[in-house]
Amino acid sequence: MMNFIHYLVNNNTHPYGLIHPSEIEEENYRSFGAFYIMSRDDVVLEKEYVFHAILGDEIIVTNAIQTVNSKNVYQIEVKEVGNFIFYAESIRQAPYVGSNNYLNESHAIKRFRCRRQDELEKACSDHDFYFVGASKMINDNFN
Amino acid sequence: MITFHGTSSNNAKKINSANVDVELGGGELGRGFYTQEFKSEAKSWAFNVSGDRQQNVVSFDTNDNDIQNLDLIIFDRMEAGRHRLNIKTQSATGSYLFGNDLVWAPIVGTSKVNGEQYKWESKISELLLNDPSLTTKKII
Repeated sequence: MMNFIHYLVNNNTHPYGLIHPSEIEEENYRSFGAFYIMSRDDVVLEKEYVFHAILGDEIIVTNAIQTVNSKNVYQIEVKEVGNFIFYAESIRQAPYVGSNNYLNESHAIKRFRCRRQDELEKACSDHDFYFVGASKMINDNFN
Repeated sequence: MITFHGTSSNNAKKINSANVDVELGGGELGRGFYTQEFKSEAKSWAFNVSGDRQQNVVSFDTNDNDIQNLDLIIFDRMEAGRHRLNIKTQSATGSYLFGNDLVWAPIVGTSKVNGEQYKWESKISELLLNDPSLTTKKII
């Protein structure tokens, strides 16, 4: 699961730990998530990451592929929707403090951020397309 | 101004039929009803909370003049971050009130800003969101 892009939120009860949104304990608590690259080791970026998304009513799998010249820049091509440039943004490393086994002892090493928010908004409006990342909801759909 | 609230498709239906309740929700800036600037991010949140893929966001189109007439407070990132820390330290994410109708601030929970958040805090702002002649709501 380390070569997946993950969707996580700040844990309300931990100073800077991250959890899945479905693990928020407080009822009706509104948080704001972001996409993260997780690792159990040092900061070594993969050449390719799996990045889940929704297109219409379907969960689809896209591939974020590292560009040749820049190690922190990734391109994602989504057929009939468009191309998106994401970059691995430096952050203070944050541990995963939830209870999902596959992320135990891992920490966020980079935030995965779209260079052009307006393109995400356009894809959402025009094609009902949006990225969701890996999370408990994706696991539930595939298990 | 158009803002977005991601949730389950069932909740979206309830909210769309005039059922915003500012006393129910909480977040990094305390008690209130939260909306955000970007639709795609509201969608990501909605899916990851509910598993619902469609009809999981309510958009609120509110007249700018009506918003300007509210008792509005706007924070920059540093101010919002300070308030967030204070509220978190007090364990008051479900109760803290600024005493304004609407709190407008960058999202600070993540390590870098990703858009604006709007915390509708008072009954006046609740009325504004629930009155169809003042705010057009749509499930998207």
